[in-house]
Amino acid sequence: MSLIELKFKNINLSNNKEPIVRVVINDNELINETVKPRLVTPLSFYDDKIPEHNILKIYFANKENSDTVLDYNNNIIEDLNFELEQIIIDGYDIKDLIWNSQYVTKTEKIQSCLFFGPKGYFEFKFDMPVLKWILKTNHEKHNNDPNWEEDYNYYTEAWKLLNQI
Amino acid sequence: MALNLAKKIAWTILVNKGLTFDNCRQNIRGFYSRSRPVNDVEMQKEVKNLPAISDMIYDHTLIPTFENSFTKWIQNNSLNKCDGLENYQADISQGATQAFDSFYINHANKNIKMFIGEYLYHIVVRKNLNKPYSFIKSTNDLAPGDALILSVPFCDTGNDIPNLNEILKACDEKNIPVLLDCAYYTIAQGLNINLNFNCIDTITFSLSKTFPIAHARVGMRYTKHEFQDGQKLHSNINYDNRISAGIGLHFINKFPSDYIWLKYKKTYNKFVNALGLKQSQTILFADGDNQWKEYGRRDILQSYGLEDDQNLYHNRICITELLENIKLSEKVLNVIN
Repeated sequence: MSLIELKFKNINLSNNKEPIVRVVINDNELINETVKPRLVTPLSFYDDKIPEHNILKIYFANKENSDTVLDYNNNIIEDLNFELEQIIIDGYDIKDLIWNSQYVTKTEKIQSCLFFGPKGYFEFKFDMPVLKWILKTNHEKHNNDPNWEEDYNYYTEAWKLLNQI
Repeated sequence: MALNLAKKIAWTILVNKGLTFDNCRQNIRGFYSRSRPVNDVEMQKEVKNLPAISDMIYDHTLIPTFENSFTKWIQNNSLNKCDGLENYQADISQGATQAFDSFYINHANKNIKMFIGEYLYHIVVRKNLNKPYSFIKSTNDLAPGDALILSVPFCDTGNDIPNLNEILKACDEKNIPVLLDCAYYTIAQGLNINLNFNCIDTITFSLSKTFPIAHARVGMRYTKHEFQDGQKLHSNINYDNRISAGIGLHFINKFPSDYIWLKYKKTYNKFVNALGLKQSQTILFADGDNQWKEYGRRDILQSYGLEDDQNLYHNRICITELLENIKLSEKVLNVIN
């Protein structure tokens, strides 16, 4: 069964209130809980038939205007926020591809933003199998891995052979 | 087709070891190009049965016992012959490498000559120390003032050198000292080496390719009895590495010098034929045609920064991993065929 692992950092509370995320994949809710440095969830509702194209959304579920505390000069002195650090899908760290994402608020879409400050959600698109997608996307981006597909095919065939024998 | 099969076997072995995709990729290039001994199960057991260090380190008879036993062990090889070894004096060496270094020191003013494809250590050391070396194509390229390093079996192919006697005769005539590197002798078959040439200055053997004890650095050097240098001085005063000697002695007492070839001969033939390779006289190696280019020693040459024409090298393919994973390799062969 596929697993999604999310790592967060710089988790800041406001008035002792902890941030909550709602993690959704293709409109199916996976997690709805307090942000911790590491959250892991299986994609249980897919029974191993995960669609090829997927959209992961991480909603900042409980952010309110009152969570941002300002001083007399309008400087933020306390805020409820956190940062997404890493996404690991089926054991594969997507690394820099995490930046191929956007943070959507009521008023704007911020590209390559891992900071959860304003109310909104982080959106990230990926394909399955994720390893194939990582290799393909990286090569398309950097044009530095011409053998990725051949090696990927040998790798998957090795797994098939091991299951067969 | 055969290369595709070889890649499938290699990937399956690496995945079966639990390596990640990235680690498999890192290991796949060296899979058929590295040269290392078979981690034979029976030998691994003997690693666990080695004598205690305290028993080895205070045994002042260990070095001479090992040196004497080693010569007999080499001479009792049923597959190879080296005539005249008894005329040389054995002294233990930290791998064959210490003996190479001694040869460089003893012939510091000479131009080291090698046939292309020779063991890369010589080339890397000479290059890094900015010492003269060059490659030869025939004995016509040898001149007084040179010293010749020659691996038998030859490093690039694992095969005998067909005109070895002619080469040694020419070196005799030109007064050229020769180092014969016999590191692959105990993993080879069909060798018949005549050591009765005056030009032979040094003969080296190693256990690093025969037994999974490469990191114990067990080797043996043979030089003429009257010859003296730093390495022999330590031998004369019994000041050599007794732990290496103890490990080496334990192994040569347990396994004859033709053990590896006799044990793996059948499997070797099967894999080499299945992969469309040409057999070598050395059990770890086989010769690949041009489609095997990426699996020869070229990436090693590149990593050492050696700019020699890589097309002059053979595609020496090392099948150690297949011999270590016989059952899995055979199963993959059966499924695919």
